[in-house]
Amino acid sequence: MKAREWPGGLLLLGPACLWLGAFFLIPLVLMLRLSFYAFLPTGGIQEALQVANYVKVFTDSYYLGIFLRTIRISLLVTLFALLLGYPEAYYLTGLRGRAKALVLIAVLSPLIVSAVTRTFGWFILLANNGLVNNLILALGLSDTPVKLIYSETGIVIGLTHVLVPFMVLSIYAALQRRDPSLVRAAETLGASPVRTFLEVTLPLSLPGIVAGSVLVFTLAMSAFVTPAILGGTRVRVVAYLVYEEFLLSLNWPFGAALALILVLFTMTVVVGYHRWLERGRWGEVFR
Amino acid sequence: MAKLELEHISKRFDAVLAVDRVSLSIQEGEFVSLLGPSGCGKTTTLGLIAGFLAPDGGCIRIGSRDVTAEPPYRRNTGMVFQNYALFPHMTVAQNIAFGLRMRRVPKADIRGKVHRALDLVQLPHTADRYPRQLSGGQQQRIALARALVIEPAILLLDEPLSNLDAKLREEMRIELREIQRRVGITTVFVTHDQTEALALSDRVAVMDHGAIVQVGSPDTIYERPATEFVAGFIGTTNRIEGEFAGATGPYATLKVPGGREVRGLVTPGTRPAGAGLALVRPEKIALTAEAHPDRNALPGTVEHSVYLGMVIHYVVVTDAGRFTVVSQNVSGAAHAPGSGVVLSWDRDHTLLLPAESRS
Repeated sequence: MKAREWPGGLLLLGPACLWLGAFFLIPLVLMLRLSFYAFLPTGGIQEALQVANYVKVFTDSYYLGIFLRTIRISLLVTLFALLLGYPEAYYLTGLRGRAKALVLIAVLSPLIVSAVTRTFGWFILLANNGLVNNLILALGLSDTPVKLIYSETGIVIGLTHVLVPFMVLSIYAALQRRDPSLVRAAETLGASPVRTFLEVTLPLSLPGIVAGSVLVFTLAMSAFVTPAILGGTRVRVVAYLVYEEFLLSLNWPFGAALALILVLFTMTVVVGYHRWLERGRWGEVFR
Repeated sequence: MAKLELEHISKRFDAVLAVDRVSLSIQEGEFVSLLGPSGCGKTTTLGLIAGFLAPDGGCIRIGSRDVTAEPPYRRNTGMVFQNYALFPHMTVAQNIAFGLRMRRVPKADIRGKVHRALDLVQLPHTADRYPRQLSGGQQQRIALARALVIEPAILLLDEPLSNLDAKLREEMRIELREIQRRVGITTVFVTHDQTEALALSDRVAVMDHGAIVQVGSPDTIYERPATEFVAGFIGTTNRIEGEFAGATGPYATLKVPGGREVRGLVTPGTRPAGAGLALVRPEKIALTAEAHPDRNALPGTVEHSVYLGMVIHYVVVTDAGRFTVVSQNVSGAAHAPGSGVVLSWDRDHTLLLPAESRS
């Protein structure tokens, strides 16, 4: 029997709905209201209905710059996660048994280590006298240490590391679903392995690429710990800005506005990306 | 179009010898079926011909070219798969054009060729549809068009009809044969369905345990099976155990339980001595009231009958064993269970072979 035909199915959803309603939806509505309030120089908050907070974000180049940086970092992280993750996922589909289990654990290892530990690990590696810079100096690739921490480069490296597993698993799932006889069909029709990959395997794994890049992009947009440690106050991202407004400046209305813009922007990008792909040349793949 | 030669090809998967020194020569334009139960090596053999697998030994020639070491995309074969294997992200026209594009056929020529291929399979109106919008039978025909449009040297068919329902399968069988004759392409057809193999093929190669047991025209395979396995796998057959008791020319005599003798043709290449078997098809046996001197005859009792309209199936018990008999419904009435009958059949329809030749 289908869950849809069974009214009791709603009961199963009940706990999750209650949870999301109480701890996500209601706070979100409160945040929305909060974002229209005014912040008084004396430190208080005045209940009002004004859009000054939003105007400030879109007119102040400081805040726009941080938004652009966050988007730039997230796009780069998505791109690198894809470039690193696709071959990894492809390799994984060829494995069986114990070898597959071991590689899967290796793929998931960034998620097993806590965010703070992992990021401080990168901090040590990427510091001016860290392993990476010592190597660069020893190899003569540069005369002075390369600025890796407190830079966008460091944030991109750290985020890519932790987000690659999401890309790998999404693409792996899509590749697992493909019909092996399609590859054979392409081969008998005269397609070399490279052509077969480009014309058959790659297009058919697009849903996995999309799912993976949506996950990685949204997680990168909202990432806090990694950019906070590797960028800190010197290279702020939006999530860090929100944290500062709420906990340091105590300007809750402005923090709320920033957070909501971040959420709305990310959602718009994700939905737009889907629409664009579904209407495009490879739309049939998504049916 | 070209001839295809397999010379002693073998393929081993770990401990299993999946294909065991198979040799087969297929003439230009010939339609040959590889027939056998699952696990007999027929699909592996097809994979070796297509180039998906590399043989451990032996040689594969298409035309005069040794392709043993060539990858599949340089073998110039066209293949139709059991599950159609149409590219889901391409339209029907794009699917058919795929092989032409890979061969760098000029765009203008591609359009005409795709058109003619669609006409060949009688689906000219489907060019812009996607595979999921077509029925199973239509998808299979598009798959055939896609394989043929590249004008391959060899057409390989991997159980292409087994996913279709019974009625459609029969229609497609006729159409497939018709198209194959018109194009005149050398074809290897893998199937586990004996009816398909008999209906479609110029020759049938029956496989078992990785080896070809017998190759021959459909009627040879059916009327003169070389082994008990072939006789049992293709159609049904009655087997009578006994002892050889002399031979004259192509015929021999088998003493069967109950003291009677059965005469029949000795299977070529076997020696009619010691323990033996007689094989006779159910439809070759007539139920008569009395014995005929020139024919084999065994008295028996009807155990039960199944009335099927056009034919009647009987199970008859004799001293030499239980027999299945299929009779044309000429009289309009079945012999009643318990009634005594004489089974009578021609010695030319009886095959004798030594008992140890069973495989």
